[in-house]
Amino acid sequence: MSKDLMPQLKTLLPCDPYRIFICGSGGDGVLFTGKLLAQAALRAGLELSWLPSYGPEMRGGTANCSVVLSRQAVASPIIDQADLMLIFNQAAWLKYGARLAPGGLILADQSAFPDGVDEGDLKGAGQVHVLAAKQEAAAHLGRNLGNMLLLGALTELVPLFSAADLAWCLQQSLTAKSTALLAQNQQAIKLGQRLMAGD
Amino acid sequence: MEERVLMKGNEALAEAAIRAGCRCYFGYPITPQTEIAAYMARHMPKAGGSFVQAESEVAAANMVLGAAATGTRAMTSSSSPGISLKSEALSYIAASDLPALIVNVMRAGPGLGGIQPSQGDYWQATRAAGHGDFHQLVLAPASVQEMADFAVLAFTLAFKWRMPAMILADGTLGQMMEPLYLPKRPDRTPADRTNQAAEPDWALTGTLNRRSHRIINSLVLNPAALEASVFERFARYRQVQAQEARWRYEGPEDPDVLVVCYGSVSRIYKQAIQAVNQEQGLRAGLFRPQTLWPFPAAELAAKAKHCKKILVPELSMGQFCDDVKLATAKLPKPVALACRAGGQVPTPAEALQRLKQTWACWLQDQEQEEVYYGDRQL
Repeated sequence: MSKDLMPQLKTLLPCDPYRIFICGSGGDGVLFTGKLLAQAALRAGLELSWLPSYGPEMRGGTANCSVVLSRQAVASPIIDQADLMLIFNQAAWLKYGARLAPGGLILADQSAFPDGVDEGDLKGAGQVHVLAAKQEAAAHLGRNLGNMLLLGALTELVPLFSAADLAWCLQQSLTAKSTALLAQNQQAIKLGQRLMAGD
Repeated sequence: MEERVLMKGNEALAEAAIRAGCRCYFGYPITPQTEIAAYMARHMPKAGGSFVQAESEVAAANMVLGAAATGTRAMTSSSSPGISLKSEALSYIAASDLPALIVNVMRAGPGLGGIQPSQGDYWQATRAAGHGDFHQLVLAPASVQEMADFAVLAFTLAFKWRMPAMILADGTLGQMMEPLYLPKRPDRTPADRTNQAAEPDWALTGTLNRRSHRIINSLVLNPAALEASVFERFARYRQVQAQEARWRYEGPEDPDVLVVCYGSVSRIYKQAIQAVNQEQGLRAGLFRPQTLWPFPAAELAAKAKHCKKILVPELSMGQFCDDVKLATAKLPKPVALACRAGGQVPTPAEALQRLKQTWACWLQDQEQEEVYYGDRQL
């Protein structure tokens, strides 16, 4: 098939496969964040895998989730290095930080680096973005929606899929549960986009 | 074509089973397969079927025996320790020549073990699913798509050969989500449903005084009669072995190293093989059995003929490697074994290292058959 006839994907992967690792604590919305990413990627026409941590983590403690995006069928859903890490707290950073691939991107809640970002710890990282996601979400939306705020910020950073795709997936996931909850999640995504744009 | 959906392996399997006509699910919760039961609880009643959370695994498996005897498509699912409890009923199902689906989403053992992925029940599934001389079909999916496809295939083969079929998955396959195409729902008209011809000629459905009794039984006290029934069953098994072995191969025609593995491990090694084939020097291929019983022995031997070395990675201590060695015994090729256990899973980097290491060993000594416990070479 010539290049012109290839189906146009509404996505730009920085590398292929693009390995995403999301980590935090139970209740941070780690798995849901990954699920939304996966759904938006599917909508954008990508192949993908989503692998959660299961077991004791689900019942408290650290939780993590690996999402692999690719133009071809994903080979390994298990990853040892991440091109993108979403980090929700310090415990997760200390436990999983070593998994960042050289030149990888970190998008983290401020609580991951309570003493500020130490350049020495981040020698391999390509880019580090830290947002007061949980704090801003609590102040403006009154809920623990730091995960959605970071996801909104991500759409500003990496064009994996459009904000519209993300909004559509969110709607699919939450409409049946609660329209109020959906509205708050949508606001959190927009807030994240604004914060990142002004970053 | 139907839309691609994103589902967990456990849920995809459950939905596909319903679409394949499964109308009875009996189970008891255990990690990492509980999503199958949860999905069935929600969706089986909508399909007009029955979901029962039994009082134990033993009870659930015996309910499958009872439902299967009526010609109903019935299934149960569990994880390793729970499958051990079901083994008595499995033997009875096989001895009664009944079709049924049993799903084992394996976790690490022995004993209560752990809840992380494992392949430690390979011998149990392929050799000793219960007491006595019998076999069950064993299907080994390696993706969420295959979790769904094999649920359909399992029922088809189980009914074709009148024997139990097991889907042997693991925690990774059960818990992960991938996009998949669900199998089509059968277009059933009301006339089809009442069509008596669709009923198997062995099913216990009540005679209504219109036909002679059918008997389904596993107790045969006359040794000659019992031997005859075992001989008949094993003659059927020979046909299954000749016709139903399934496998996939990816890689160059004549690889230096032939990697033989199944299930989630094959996904990790697939990545390592792709990486190694992009470099100069070593060429590797992946042979993946989709059926573990019948084992694709002749096909593996044919593929292994032109390789220099075989590498067998597994999440168990050489159980699967036994079958690889049996299949390739006449060649013979040196076989290296890479074990992980306890719920530990190799990373893609570890898989790449094993591949290169076993090739380096071959370059030094072309008969060496090394064994790896994790990173440790014995």
